[in-house]
Amino acid sequence: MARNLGTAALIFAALVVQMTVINRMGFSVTPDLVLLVVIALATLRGETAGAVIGFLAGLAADLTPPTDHVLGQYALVMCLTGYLAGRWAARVPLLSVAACAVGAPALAVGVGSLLGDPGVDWSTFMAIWPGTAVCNLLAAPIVVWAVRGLFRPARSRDVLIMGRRRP
Amino acid sequence: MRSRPARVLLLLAAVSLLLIALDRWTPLDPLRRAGSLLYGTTASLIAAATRIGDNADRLRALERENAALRADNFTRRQTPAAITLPDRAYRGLPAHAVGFAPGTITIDIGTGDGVTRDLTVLNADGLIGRVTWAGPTTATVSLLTDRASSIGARVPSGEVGTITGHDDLLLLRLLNPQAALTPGDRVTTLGSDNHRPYIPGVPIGEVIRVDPTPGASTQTALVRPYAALTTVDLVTVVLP
Repeated sequence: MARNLGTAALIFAALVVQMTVINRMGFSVTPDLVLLVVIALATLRGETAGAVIGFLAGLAADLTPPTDHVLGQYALVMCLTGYLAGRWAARVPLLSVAACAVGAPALAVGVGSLLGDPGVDWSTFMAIWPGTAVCNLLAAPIVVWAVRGLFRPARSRDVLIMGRRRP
Repeated sequence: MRSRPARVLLLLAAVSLLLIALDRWTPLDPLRRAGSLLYGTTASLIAAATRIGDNADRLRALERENAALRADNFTRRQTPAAITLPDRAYRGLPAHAVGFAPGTITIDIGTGDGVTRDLTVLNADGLIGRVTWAGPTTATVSLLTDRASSIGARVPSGEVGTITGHDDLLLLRLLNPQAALTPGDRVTTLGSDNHRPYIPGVPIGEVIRVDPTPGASTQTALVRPYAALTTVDLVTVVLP
């Protein structure tokens, strides 16, 4: 219970930091903090928890102003990302984090264009995605390290070593 | 029989798709209002906390007065004599940008202060964008560089055209392909029907490059916005 409350608080904090600090810095591309927190939590807690955490975090992101897209769009992208990150984490943790951090923004743009976001085409995709992917990749180790520090499983130490199979 | 995690994923994905369909069909505004209350209020509090130490009340009064003056002033200044504007006074509401996302910002006033959809938002430098959604205590402003935005514009020669977002810059399309246009020209808003979403005469930006397009049906140019859109703080919402 305490762990779930902590998870909710962490995601809320990530959303607030994203909209008040990171997006304010004035860079044209920024890392997606909430996405990285979801990936980190999913690699710790597995695919089922990853999907649930991803769905709820995505829904919260959909409701955070000033988003102007259709409700449920991020929930869909994040629950898929959380599931895949959790599923692959057991075998290839590092690759799982990297693939999800790079793939999720592409998935988000793709879902957005399917749902009829105005003005999204191939050139928009190429303008947004590479920068966001690189930013996410650079920020991922820091976020994963911080989240693992906060939600360290009490049982053993070897889960802390990326690349090992979880017990 | 599928495994449990896969069933959970399918269920959640189905719920997401249901939400998307519902929001398409009948916008889920109560949910949005709740989100705006929670996150908007948090963002407003954080922004207000960073302003503590200022002489808050006096500053607030000055901001209000300044916003009202600015709203009125923009429509009179820099308007070619040939164009007559309706002689009306605008009311300006001061607001702070408290939340940021690509293409949009959140401001710390909402329907409780009289903000509604489709109002002009500007700052001391020029046009910022328009209000696209108003919640109880915060409102969402779509920046003029947003790809979906399309703004009626006028250049000094009196020719009219449209402004659309183009990454961090703007793309101006003049209806007359032979129109005189040079770098440095000032682009202002043409004004919308009934002054919503855009009031006339607000400076948008400066022409930085005219594209040579002989034979084309429109003339295009790149425009740099006057307002620094990524570092917006104090803005004015204009009530027509």
